[in-house]
Amino acid sequence: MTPLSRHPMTLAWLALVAATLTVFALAEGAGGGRFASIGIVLVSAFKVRLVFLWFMELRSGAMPWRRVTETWVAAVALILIAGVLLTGAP
Amino acid sequence: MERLKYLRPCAWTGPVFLMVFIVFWGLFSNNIPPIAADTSAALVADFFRDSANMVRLGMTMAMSFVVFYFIWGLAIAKVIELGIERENNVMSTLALWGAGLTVVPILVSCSFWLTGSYRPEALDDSVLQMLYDMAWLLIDLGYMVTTVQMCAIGIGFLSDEREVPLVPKWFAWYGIWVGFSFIAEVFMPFFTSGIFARHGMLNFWIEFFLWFFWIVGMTYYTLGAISRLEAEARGETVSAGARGTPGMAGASA
Amino acid sequence: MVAATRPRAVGDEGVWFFITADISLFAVLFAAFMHARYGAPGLFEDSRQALNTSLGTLNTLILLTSSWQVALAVHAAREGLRDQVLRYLGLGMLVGVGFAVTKAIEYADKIRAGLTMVHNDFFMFYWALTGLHFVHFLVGMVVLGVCLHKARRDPLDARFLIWIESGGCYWHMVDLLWIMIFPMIYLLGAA
Repeated sequence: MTPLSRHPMTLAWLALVAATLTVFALAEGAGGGRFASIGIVLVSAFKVRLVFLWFMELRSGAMPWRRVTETWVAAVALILIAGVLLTGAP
Repeated sequence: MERLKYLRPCAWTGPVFLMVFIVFWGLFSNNIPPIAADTSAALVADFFRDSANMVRLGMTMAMSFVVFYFIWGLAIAKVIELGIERENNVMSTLALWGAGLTVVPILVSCSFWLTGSYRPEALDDSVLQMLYDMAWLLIDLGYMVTTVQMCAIGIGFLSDEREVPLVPKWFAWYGIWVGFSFIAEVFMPFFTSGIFARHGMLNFWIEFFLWFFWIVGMTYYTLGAISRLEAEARGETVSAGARGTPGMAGASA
Repeated sequence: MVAATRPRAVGDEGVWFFITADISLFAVLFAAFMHARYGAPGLFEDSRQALNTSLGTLNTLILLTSSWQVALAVHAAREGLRDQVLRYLGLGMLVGVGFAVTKAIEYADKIRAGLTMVHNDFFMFYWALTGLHFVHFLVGMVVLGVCLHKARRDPLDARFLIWIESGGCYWHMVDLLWIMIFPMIYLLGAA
């Protein structure tokens, strides 16, 4: 098996950890503003997509699951972003 | 072949149950959708007083026909037992009992609605509200017996070793998933409004209609499975793979 | 042997159906949350402040790490490396236990503060969403346990691969659901 440090799963994990820390930074730094929130949603959607494509191996394009999961990611991101944009200030 | 006798009529009782349930329990008795949980006692009482005869009729019919759910469940359990299981009949037994026990919360809760409609003018508003609440609490929180039935059926059909299984695997998984998703009903007693309340989007509309669709699909596939088992018993090896018919050993060609 | 022209998903197709159905239901719950938030931005923002974002981030890292280990176990299984399968599955489960520990701490803290499911609409969703997710997590731990048990004595054949691939996919679903639930509930602020 490919050595751990070079294994594709490890690289995926590293990307996910980096993205998680990015989200944390966005949340702490920008103090909950609208742009930070949208940024957080987009990075989280990117993370979910990473899990689908790499951990769950949909990169090869298995149908209909690839299309269904991509749609899901897009739909959920849309729902959250729409919510952020439409919701008034407290 | 002898062992498959009666199964087809038993399977057909499922659609009969569903139609009676939707029309008489659901539409006549105002349960599709239920009266909102945050409705005042006065309004609930008005419902029982104004619609007494509709509810009496609705519940009488529902109580009379709910046992068909068990008879239908028997047909499914038998298909699993005769068509798939070999020495172990745990799944078919769980499926059978699950179907039978599902009858209980429905039967008993219908009697509460019926009670509310029997002599509503003599009862306090709060008593009538309690009867309506009691019925819904029972029918919703009795979910687990149906979950057991649906999961046992799913696991039973997933064990099918035929090349073309009696029931497609995705549908077996659909039943397991719906049964598992009923667990959201645990939130129902805590809320009188919102998506988790008895009339809520999740705990009523989604859960109940997922279950109705499952009943329809399960009936369709069960009838198909009975036909295939009959063909196997007659010794016809359907090219799409009847491989060693468990439970049918000794049936004459 | 002719290779399949269309790529198949890993694991059992039926489990994929289950996964897509489950994530669809969660998407509906996400929409319900965002809708409720739209109707009560002040309440939701105030309530959100009571949550511990560091614990939530830790939870995310825990599940990501656990998923990584399980993914490695699947790859090891394909190469027939039983020792590695056992090691990675075991580590994956061990790390996974960390999620239960942090959740228990978090839930206990909320209960002590009176922030129960009936406290307000925000906490209704907080408890329901994280609670339903936690039930999925528990089922996933059982599934991983079964895979570990099988990995001990079953041959690492096609049948076993279906188990570990399907179980792995289910576990990754638990992971990805948290990846969305956490920011949605804990992090989305209102300007």
